[in-house]
Amino acid sequence: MTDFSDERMQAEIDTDRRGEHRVVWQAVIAVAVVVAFACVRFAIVGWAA
Amino acid sequence: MNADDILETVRTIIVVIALVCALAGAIPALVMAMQFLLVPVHGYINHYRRAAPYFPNVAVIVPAWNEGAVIGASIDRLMGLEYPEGRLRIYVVDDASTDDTPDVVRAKADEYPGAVFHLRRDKGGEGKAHTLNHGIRHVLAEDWMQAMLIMDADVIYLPDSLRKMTRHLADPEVGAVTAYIREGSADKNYLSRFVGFEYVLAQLGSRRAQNVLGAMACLAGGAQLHTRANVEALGGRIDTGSLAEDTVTTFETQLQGRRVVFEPAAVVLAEEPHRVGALWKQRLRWARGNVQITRRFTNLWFRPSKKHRLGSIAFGLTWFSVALLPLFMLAASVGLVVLYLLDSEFAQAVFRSLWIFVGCAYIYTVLVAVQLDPAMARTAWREVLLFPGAITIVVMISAFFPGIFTRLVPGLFGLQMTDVGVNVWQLSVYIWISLCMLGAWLAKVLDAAGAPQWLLALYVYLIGYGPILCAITFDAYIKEARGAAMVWDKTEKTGRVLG
Repeated sequence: MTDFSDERMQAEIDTDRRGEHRVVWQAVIAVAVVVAFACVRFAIVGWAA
Repeated sequence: MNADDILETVRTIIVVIALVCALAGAIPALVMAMQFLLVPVHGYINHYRRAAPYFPNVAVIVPAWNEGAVIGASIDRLMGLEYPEGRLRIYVVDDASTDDTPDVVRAKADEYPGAVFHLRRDKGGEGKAHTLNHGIRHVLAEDWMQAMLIMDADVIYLPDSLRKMTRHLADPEVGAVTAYIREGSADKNYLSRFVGFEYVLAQLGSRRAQNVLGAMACLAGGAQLHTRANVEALGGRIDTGSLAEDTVTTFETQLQGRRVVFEPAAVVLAEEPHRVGALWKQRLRWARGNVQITRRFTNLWFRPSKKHRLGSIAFGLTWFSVALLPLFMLAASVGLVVLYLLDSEFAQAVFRSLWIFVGCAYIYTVLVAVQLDPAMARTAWREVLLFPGAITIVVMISAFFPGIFTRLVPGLFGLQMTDVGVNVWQLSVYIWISLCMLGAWLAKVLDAAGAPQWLLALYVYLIGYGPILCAITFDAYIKEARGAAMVWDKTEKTGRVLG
């Protein structure tokens, strides 16, 4: 790679910045799985146990 | 007040203290969950908006002692980095090597004239910080250097990694940038895969959270990019009075009001220990360094400042949840056992509440982590599942599904557990929370005794990798309390890192 122009480098920064948004959805998926797991647990065992 | 009242009061006080101790066991999981809840915030609160195309003259300092087998290839890879020609110089600081390191580096200096330099120390073996300082003195004596990269001789920077780091230095508030050190052994084994997943948790997860908090715990030793102004403000030298020179540098940078940024897209491959003994030696040095840092910056913790964020409550919790992990585990065990002896029903309720919370926090953390580096998660899926150890997983399951191991499983075989058996089971579960550290220490003993690696792998899957780190921290307390000599051991490596 030999193109170190400001335009190309700025585009790379913008791509990485937008790509970082994915962590939001990754966390949402993780929370959803944990909530589902907790619901299954309490459905099976109940709140009191 | 009669004797019964006094006894009841004493009992209540003991119950409250035991309850506090038991709940302390949840603090590390609580703090880890807090950090991983900050990970999605990094999607929007990060340093990219203040980054800009920027290519300073970078002096790469490579400390080397008997690196003849790998240093030539390392220099070739550094010269192949995607970075403007003429803006990169490599200074190999040869720490009085006794192998062919000088010859290899001098040959590379001839191959890349004006870009590769051989700096020789005649007296070596004083540690990495002394070696680095020799190189730093040299590059600061010249005006050419605008940024300085400190790395290890055997790590591999991916081609775009350096330029992804330098773009953050366009912000004058930034003093240093670090990258994601990814376990990159060509021949991974169970332990290097555990380390690989640990780095996902500790770097891709925790360091994103630290970016959000504005307080970084540590610049990775093999990937520290500093501005010239920062190096000069640090006195032009790396601290030599601690086993955690990287952390001292990180703290001093921030205490002077400069930011430290973690760039998750800059990836550096490193070979990590394949044997428990080597891991123990490496991490003991790190853990002792952290104990030293904790003492050295006594006036910093939990004291918010306008100049930096190291004194914030959140950062203090992050630091001490790791530094005091063995004590939290011991407190949880003691608290639960005492509660059980006083009121078994109450103890079980506390245990279930505690471990259901810990379990949920753990599941969330792992689910986020595997998405942060899916390739690592695919390679290390067994280590991801068994990071806390199979026995601790059983402890978690017994909290989520009470009676599964005392009623359901024996019932499958037509058996019924006696009351004594149930009591022994419950107490064993509570004691295991801290006893796992002893089990972890045994892994080190087995490794030193020459146990077959397949057997050791099974054992570590059983007791877990997390407990090993916990036990090493406990060992660090002992070594520091005894005032053991500070020895900078080079981590044993084979030099086989994926290119």
